[in-house]
Amino acid sequence: MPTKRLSIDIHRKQVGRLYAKAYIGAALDAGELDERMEELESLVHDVFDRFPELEEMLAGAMLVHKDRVAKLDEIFGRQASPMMLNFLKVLSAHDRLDCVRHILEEAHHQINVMRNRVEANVRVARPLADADRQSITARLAQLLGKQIEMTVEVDPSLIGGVLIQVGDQVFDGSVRFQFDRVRTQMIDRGVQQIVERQSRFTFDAP
Amino acid sequence: MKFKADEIASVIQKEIESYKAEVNVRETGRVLEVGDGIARVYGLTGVMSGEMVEFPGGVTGLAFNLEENSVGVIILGDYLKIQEGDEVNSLGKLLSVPVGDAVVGRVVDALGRPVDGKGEIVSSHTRPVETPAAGISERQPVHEPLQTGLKAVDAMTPIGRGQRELIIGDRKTGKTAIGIDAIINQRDSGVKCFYVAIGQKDSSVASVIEQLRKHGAMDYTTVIVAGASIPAPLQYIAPYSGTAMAEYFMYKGEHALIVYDDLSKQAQAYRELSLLMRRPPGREAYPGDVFYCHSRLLERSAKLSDALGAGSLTSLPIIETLEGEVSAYIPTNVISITDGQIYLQPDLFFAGQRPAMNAGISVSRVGGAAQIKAMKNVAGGLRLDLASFRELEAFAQLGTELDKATQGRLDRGYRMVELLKQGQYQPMHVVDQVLSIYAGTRGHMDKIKVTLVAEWEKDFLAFMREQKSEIWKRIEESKDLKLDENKRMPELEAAIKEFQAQFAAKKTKEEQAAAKVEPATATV
Repeated sequence: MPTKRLSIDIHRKQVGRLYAKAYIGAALDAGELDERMEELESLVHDVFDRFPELEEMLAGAMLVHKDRVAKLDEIFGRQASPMMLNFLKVLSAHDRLDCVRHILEEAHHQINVMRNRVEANVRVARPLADADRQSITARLAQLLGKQIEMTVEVDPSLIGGVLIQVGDQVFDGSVRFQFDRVRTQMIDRGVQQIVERQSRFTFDAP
Repeated sequence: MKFKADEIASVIQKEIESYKAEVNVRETGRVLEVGDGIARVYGLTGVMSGEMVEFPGGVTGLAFNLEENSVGVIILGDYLKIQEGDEVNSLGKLLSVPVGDAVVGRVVDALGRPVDGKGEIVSSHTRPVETPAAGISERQPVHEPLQTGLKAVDAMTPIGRGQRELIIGDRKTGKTAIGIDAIINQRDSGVKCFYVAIGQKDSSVASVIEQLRKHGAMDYTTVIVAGASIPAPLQYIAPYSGTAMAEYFMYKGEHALIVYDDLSKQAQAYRELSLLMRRPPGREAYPGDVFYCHSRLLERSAKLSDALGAGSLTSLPIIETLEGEVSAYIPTNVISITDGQIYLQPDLFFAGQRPAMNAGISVSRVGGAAQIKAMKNVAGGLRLDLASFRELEAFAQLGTELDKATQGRLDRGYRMVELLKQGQYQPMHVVDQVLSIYAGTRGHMDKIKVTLVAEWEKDFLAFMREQKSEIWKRIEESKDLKLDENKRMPELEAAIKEFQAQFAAKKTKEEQAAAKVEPATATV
């Protein structure tokens, strides 16, 4: 599960989509999709997250392809599966090692689509109790007809209620939104009433 | 006057009591980049082209470009407060503006919001800014005249209700003046007028509004302003908004007139947007669909069939040319879309012929169908006569000896040109126009000095209204001169003869008075 939200970079995202498709395809052919996904996640979370300098070095233009391959062999040669190693070398050959995180995110998304699952980002004002969490998941699953993979964020600015984002769709049941709406409604209707029936609101000073 | 606080409180209380909490479902995206009136948005995967979206703070936009990874949005409002990463919501509706009687007499911006400081526009009706034009079976041929009150226009390039007549010319040749005079002349005709000012100086728009107000035209006119300081998206959308407001009256069975001042500026605004959106540039860097931009706008002017109430929308688009270049991209486009053009020339303007209309190349493709019979009787052939006079005039300047007939035609031509001059904000009733042109084309002015033609006309029209009002009324009612076999109207001939005598007497008297005064002033 990707923990860090990436900033939106549509070009890398598009590249990520392409490589993710290829990576999944290769893993499926080899019949080891889960293992390879786990490996990719581990690469990002256990290696890149802990050694950002390594990611920088591989993604940057400091090394040429030949040197990068040597480094990849040296670092991952003994631990990584042959397929992962090959994948990294292909990325290196195309100067796309900066897209690994996007590839992971896109691969994750594509597998979810394959397995009829959606990612739902749930934002609440206070930490969620387990029971609530389960009921939200169940309700969403029923509504969307899909399995739910839920991430929860605590955002006190919501004041109360819950805001769920699935893809581009937002289900906003937050108290903040209700306040906003009631505020604009009151202003609009108030103005309208004043315009329509001015006499009701005024009296002439004696 | 004071506000009653408890009344306001009761409204709010009712509001709260009736409030139902419900989950709001919306589609969102995030702003990737923003600037120059456009934003690039990630997400909004289900948004449709032309759909309205909302930025934080209530600024709205239109989905303009649907791309593989992002959506290009044109921002209709202040884009300086929008930041990267802001949430954008699609609203699932098309851009609409308020329409109806509430907008008449108002000055509004491109979104129909008032800018004249006269309070909110409360209208129960709205209309989408972009609507398909009426189809073939919903229309009928143009047949009723729309009087502009300008002799030159009504006689030579008549405009019918439902027609689109282009006004084209260089800067400072009186293009706006024709539109404004046409609006002022609708005072008693019941035609609702709309003046769309695009990319103009706010000071010019203010003075136009002032003139309209002074002549009582603001009672039935709406002014839609997207000035030069307004971002390009609003300048682009303004003519469509104005058309939506005008269409409302057309579909109600009423008549409307809309002046787009001017469409070259709108094309430039559209070019700016398209280039910022990285659409490929074509000729003169305009996008490929700039023709469609104007054709779908002008196609909405129509004369509706009787089954639909026979309403009409007449449009007078204005195009500014550079150094008389009519073969540039936008002028040729709009010329080909419209049903004729009034071509204004700077040399005529500076020679004192105002309106500075070039009769030779100005046409109206609807023609005589949009004229009353009386006007058809007197003005038929006028345009060709004037054009041939212009040729003859150029020839005569060579200094060759002229035979009597040619000299006669030249004299007639000079007087007709003089007669077709008309001051700004002085539209004339169609019967007055008919009488003037009758007198001119039938040679009753040939003996009058060219410098006296204007005075002769003024006195003659006053004479007809005051002393021969029965003839005047008869023409107004029957809209026909009932000419005899010599193409003359006997009663009118008699009246003109009577007036000629009066005018001659007045002139002699004036001359005598001048002769008397002169020596006296000389001694002082």
